[in-house]
Amino acid sequence: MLAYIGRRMIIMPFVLVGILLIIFGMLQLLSPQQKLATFIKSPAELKNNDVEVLIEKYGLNDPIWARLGRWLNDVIHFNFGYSESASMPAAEAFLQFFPVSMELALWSALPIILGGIWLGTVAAVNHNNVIDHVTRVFAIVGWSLPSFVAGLLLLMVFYGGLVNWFPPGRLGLDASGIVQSASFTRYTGMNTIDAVLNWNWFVFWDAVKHIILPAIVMSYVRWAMLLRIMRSSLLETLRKDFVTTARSKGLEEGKVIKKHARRNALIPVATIGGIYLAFLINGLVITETIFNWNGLGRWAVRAAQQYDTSSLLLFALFNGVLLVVANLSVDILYAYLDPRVTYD
Amino acid sequence: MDYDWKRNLVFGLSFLLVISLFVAGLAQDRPEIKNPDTFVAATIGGSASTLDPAYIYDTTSSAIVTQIYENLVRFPMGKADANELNAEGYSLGEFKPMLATKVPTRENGLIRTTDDGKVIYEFPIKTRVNFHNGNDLSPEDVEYTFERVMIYDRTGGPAWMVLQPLTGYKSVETLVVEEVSEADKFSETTKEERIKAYNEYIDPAVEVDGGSVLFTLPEPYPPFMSILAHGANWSAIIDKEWAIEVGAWPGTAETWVDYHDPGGGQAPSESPLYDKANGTGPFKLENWDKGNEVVFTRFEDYWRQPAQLERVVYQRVKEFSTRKLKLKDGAADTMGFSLQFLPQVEEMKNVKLYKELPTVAMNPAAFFTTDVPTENNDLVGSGTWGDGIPSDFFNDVKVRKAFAQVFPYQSFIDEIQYGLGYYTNAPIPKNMQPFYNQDLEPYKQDMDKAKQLLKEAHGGTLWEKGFQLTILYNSGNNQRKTASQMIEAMIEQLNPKFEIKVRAVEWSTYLEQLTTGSMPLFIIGWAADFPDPHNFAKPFAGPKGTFSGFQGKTIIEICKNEFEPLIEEGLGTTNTEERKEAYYELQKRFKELVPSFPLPQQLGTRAIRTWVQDAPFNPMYEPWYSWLYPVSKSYE
Repeated sequence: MLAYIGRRMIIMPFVLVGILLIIFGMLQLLSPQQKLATFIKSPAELKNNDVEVLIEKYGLNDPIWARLGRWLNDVIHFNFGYSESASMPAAEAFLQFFPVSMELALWSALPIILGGIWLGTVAAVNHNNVIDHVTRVFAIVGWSLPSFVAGLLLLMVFYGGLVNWFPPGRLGLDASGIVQSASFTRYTGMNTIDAVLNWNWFVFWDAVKHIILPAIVMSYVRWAMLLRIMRSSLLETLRKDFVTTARSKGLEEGKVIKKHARRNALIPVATIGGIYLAFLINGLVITETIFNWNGLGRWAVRAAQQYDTSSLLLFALFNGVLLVVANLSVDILYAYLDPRVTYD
Repeated sequence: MDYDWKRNLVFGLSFLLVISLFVAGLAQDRPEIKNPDTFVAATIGGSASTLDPAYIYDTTSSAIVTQIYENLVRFPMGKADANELNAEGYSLGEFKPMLATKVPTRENGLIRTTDDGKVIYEFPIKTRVNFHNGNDLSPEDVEYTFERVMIYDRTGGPAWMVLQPLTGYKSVETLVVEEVSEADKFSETTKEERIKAYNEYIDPAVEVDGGSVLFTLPEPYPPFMSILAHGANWSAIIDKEWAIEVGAWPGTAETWVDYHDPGGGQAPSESPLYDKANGTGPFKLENWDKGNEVVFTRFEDYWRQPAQLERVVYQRVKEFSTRKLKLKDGAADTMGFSLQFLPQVEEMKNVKLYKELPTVAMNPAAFFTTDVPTENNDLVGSGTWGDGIPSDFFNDVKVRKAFAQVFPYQSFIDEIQYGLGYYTNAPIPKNMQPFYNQDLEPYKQDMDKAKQLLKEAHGGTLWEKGFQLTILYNSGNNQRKTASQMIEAMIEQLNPKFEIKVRAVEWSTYLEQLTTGSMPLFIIGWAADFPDPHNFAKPFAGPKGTFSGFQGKTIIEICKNEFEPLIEEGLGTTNTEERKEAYYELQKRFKELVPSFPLPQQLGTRAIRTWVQDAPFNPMYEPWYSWLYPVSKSYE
């Protein structure tokens, strides 16, 4: 297994370089004027900008190898360039936005996975009866509901509606003041974790209040997929001989499901779940927008709209690493869930 | 007896219910003030790029430094708060002292002309003014501020506004090349030449004279005072000692080039003042969470009474519904919104909405391109009559006039601007008095006249053979989309042989088409850098103007022959009457030759909680940022 992981780690840099070259090449297909959209973001900014001067100044007309060389040279020196879409250096933007999305993804991941598995198990065990139907309808409604609709509905009920419990944003004014003060140490950039590490329960509770609604939205709109996979996988497993054998040995139904059937049924869930979580971290655009969380997803969209090369390349690099790591994790999880799987 | 007891109980409970409802109703009218010492603005705006006043050329960053830094003078402010609208109280042509003790005028002798025609502005500087770090304000700080802006001159930045009046050049690089060097490019000039340019042009332009600062202009430049006024971040006074301490330009001739155009104007973070601020303003920077939030705290040693508010927070909330919920809850005191959401804001309780505030902009306006390239340009179809347009389609003034007269101005005001639009002439905005030509009737829709003009245009060929062209708009801009569709609908009504297609493109493609002069007709807008007619006359009517430069050689010729002499006349004198005459004539000729025409202009809006008091108003500030020094929160 270790040798397998080692081999995958060696291949990873080549995969990343490949991804970057493809994206860099695609960006070079744009005309110099189109590339200028990175620097002039709206018609209002045209004022006094001599277009030809800017094209020359930023080297937008330079040959592809010159631009690639410049970019690679910067990356070697850990300089990912300036992100016009974030109005700060790209690396700094990444470090600022990553913990935001990561925190939301972490808080959503557990409910998504556990909720999906639980709902799938409930549906399969109650195959074709009322509970099965209700569970599936509940999940499918979530799947069909666009994130922005679910988000806004929840906000309208739980903030400024029936009750005023869960405000948008990441922190309230008072908690924000504490977090920005010198007495509060930033360890991870994730408010809930930093609050615990600072032993500040006021900030922790405030951060939790702000994360509950987006985490619910993230979970609810994603449960259906995992539910369906878990349900069909568990149904198939429950029909297998080893389950019949377990039952015939007189094992309680709960033990049959929990100890024997569910573990086997989890294999396809692990395949989908791993990739699902990898995408989760940068697929939060709508939820981040509705709940005013300025994370990676929103940044990536802005960068794409503006052809912000520095940000897009850094983002591609991050996604490459994320997917390779996610795939590797799934492979390792296979081996754990199914002892028959080996990679040697 | 039993019956009486029950009746009394029912009566008592009913009474209590009525009282409770009444009290609840009262409470609803005056809900408890949230965060009474903190003002929260939920903004639409983009992300601030830097806090360096010399770099900033965007509204969001400018709104931040406006609270922190101060200028030599400021515009008088009107008021639009919870109780009162005094939009008329503002002025764009008068000034009040800020860090100067007096506003220079010819009458008080602080503006004078030398024998060789140079104009000197003298600003006596206030004493006992502290920067946020405790340093005293001195005239040297003022001199350093302006010299730094001039040598900094980042690509695409605002320094041209200071350089132009003080040196006659829009860029310091051009100044070096043109005045002291034989080289063709700045990069080829020698160190000695650069030092010489500094010593002969930059340094003498701003000098300390006792407790005053003297600005020497090579020739009259009427907008000069507007360029210095508060809100103009490039003229915000910084602390020389502090700036040098944190790594900014040391103020010497030998070193200026090292601090010129850092990062090629591409990397604001390369400036040492990128994320630091130290002004004399009523609020200090507490925290800048980039892209999310800016927090200011009250400056207790402010030279006037400290501000009423203890804290100011700008929160960037991209989604309108979320902003609205925050304002509704009282977690925000004001918010920005685009006009499409006006009906929703109108329904909000405990929110005061102003919707007829004056604006100073020329946005949107429709521009024609003459001599449009027809090769590899799908926007002009085949490039000939019938299924395209010839290159000189808009060279004929009758075509341009016809397009200006088919536009359904009133429908645009009613449907797109929710009634908050007004007719105007171009290129001077209606609120830029006294330079707007009141006697001139703006274009109105007249389909018969338009039909007649198109019948006569191009010797009748246009009418006979018809045409087809495409109008682009940058996707997401609904106002431009609808304006384009309105032109399409009206033109196609005139003759079945006329066809206009409307297409959305990404901003990058739009920019490419614009800068290559490929769009036969484009809709774009302009907001004021500084409130002076020159800031509109030049980009719209100057032969090298921002827009006219993209409109083909025929329009450039028109600008050169018909408009440029008037633009120079308007700029060459400080006499208001003479300027007015020049700009009146410019507007008249502009309407006749119609290189572009203004669509209805939109009035400004402001939504604030009913507890916001003394909120100033001036159209040069964004309505939801404004200048927050006098603001407080109460119901009295």
